[in-house]
Amino acid sequence: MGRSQIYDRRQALVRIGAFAALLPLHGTLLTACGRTTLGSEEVRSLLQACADVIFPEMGAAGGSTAEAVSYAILAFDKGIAGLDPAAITLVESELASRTGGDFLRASAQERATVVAAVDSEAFLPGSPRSGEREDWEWGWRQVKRAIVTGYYTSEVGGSQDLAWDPVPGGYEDIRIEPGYRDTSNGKGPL
Amino acid sequence: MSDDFDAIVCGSGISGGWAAKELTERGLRVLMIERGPMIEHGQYQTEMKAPWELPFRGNLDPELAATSKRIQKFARIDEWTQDMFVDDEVDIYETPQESDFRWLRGYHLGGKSLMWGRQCYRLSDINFRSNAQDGYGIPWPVNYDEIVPWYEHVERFIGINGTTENLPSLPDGVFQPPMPLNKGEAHFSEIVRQNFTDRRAVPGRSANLTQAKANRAQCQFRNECARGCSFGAYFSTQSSTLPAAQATGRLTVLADSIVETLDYDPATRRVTGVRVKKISDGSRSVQRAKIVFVCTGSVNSVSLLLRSVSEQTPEGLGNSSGLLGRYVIDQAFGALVVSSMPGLEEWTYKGRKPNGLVIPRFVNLGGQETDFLRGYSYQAGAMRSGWGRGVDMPGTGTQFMEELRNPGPWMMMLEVSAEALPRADNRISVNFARKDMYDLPLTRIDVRFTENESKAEAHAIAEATKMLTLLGGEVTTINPGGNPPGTSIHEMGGAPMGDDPANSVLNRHNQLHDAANVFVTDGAFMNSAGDRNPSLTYMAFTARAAARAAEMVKTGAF
Repeated sequence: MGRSQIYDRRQALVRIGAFAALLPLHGTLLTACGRTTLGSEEVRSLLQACADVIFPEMGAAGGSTAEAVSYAILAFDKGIAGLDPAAITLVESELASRTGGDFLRASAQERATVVAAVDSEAFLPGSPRSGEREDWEWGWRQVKRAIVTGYYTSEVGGSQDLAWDPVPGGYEDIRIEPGYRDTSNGKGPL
Repeated sequence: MSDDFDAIVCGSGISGGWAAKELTERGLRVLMIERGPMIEHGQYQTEMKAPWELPFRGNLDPELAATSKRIQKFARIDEWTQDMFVDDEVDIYETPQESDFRWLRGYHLGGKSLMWGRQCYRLSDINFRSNAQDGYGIPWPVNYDEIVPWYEHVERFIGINGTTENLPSLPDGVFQPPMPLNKGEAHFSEIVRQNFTDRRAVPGRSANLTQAKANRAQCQFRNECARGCSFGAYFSTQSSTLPAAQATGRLTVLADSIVETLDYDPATRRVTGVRVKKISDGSRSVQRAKIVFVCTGSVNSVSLLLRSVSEQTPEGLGNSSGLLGRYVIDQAFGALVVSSMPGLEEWTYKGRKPNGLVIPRFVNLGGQETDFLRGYSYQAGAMRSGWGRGVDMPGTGTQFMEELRNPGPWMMMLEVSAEALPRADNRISVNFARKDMYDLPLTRIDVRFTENESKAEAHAIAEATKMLTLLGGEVTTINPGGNPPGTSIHEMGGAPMGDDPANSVLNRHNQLHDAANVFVTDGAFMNSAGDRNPSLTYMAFTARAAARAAEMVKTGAF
């Protein structure tokens, strides 16, 4: 692992003897006493960067500006749908290891490549490898669940990227034509 | 004390609303008493909220799910509907661990009529005969033909969409035009027709208008009914029976008030009125009337009668048979199978239909064919999955987003509702040693399913899998069921009807044998549950009882 802001902070904590036994190899930006610090700017930045890769600007605003991240943080904090803040630390650590130690300092192109690779591997058949919570694959699936839900339940994702139809007024079969946009109403995972 | 009323209706839900409507329209002055707060029609707080306007984007707060909604969450509540349900931390009851009864409730004007599933099915002659045939429960004193005119009466007013099918186990009714099947449902229905001679998959029958009626608009296909519907497109107390009763000028509504007990006069063997406590300030009053309709929900109605003790009724009012509180029933609910359905990818649908398909009972119709008694039905629906699939789907960036802009696979779901046998040991009682939040004896519910229900669910799962496999997709979910009683929110029984006062609580007209001016017309009177949604039957019997009650008042019987 190359030196990085993350590494420096970890070393600083180690030097002062605080929490040394609890610190994971990576991801120290996000933890205190072994618990992910959800309110930190670092967590928000990490999730925003991931959200921008999953949901780039495409007609509507991208993931980071769609309040997807605000929801994701809330959902991790409250444990909605079984979301566990430990997932964020695992993901941050994995992303850091693939970007020379600091995912957030990587170029947008590199972040997109790395996140796409992580995503692809996390959804390989049989993944997470052991089904255990310490797998970064498990962590990525949690992070993705939170961001995807946050995006499509935001006004941007739910009414600009997808269609919002609060009062359809009728019910009929329709053939899907090119350019069709599905509605977001009532179609969440939870 | 007041003598301003001919009738008191305890409760304002589906049955209470019908009692108030029928009694006022037949000339009686009615006081309706509801323990919960007023909810005015159209004033539904979350009805029009988008997810981004809610703190949890529509999800139930996990902290609530672990505390104040730890039981109510099994009603599939969300952030839009959570306030319609009681606080489990405060509104307590007893249930033994072996029962683990889930008592799902909403206390407000309109009761569960605001949150109900709206599926409306008549009981059939088969259902009315079942207790007498297999010996479980008290035989019904009423047959199907006797109740047909009352089914028709309520169906005309409610507005139920459906199709005439001529099926032996599911009688037809008075219907508005059906809601259309989508491509997936039509395909599945045809597959079932081609491959099975003993069953049909037909349009569900729901109390959502497909044609506007009086002051109610037709369904807008939002499928958000449980939030309340200011269009009045589904039947509820607020949209339907309450306006009708109020239009007579003979209805008074007393909300925020709980009926503590009924006052019994042993000299006349009549109830003289009810004792009421206003919940917000604790003040008490006595309300008098010639007749009382008890419609506070099956469990609460039985509890009210059980706690109405006096020197002459030490075991509760109406309990001379010793059967009050017994033969409580629920339906075994929650077993389901889901399959994908290939071949219709170019089709989707506009709108969100609050209805689907029903596969009426097809087992044990001509004789005993299975290793369990009675039967089950399915409620079903086909839908295309939406953006929610994205949480477990690989992909990032524009390709991922493009994919989610299109609907996902067609999915077909069959959910089981199995009839539970009425058993005397399944009972409601009251614990006078403990008090509830209203300082009333604590209600205790001990209802248990047995092998018959689990065998029925297992059979239903196997048959559902057989049907869904014919679609050529992948069976993605099999939930074997086994949920605790209460889960279906169809708790009923506890005040069985019969012609013999020694072996029943109510007579064939829903009157207490022991106090003929008391009519119990919510689900407490049900002698058997059937395999289908029971509310339509509550309404029919309520209307029938109200007609008799009004006539008796007019002729001076009370």
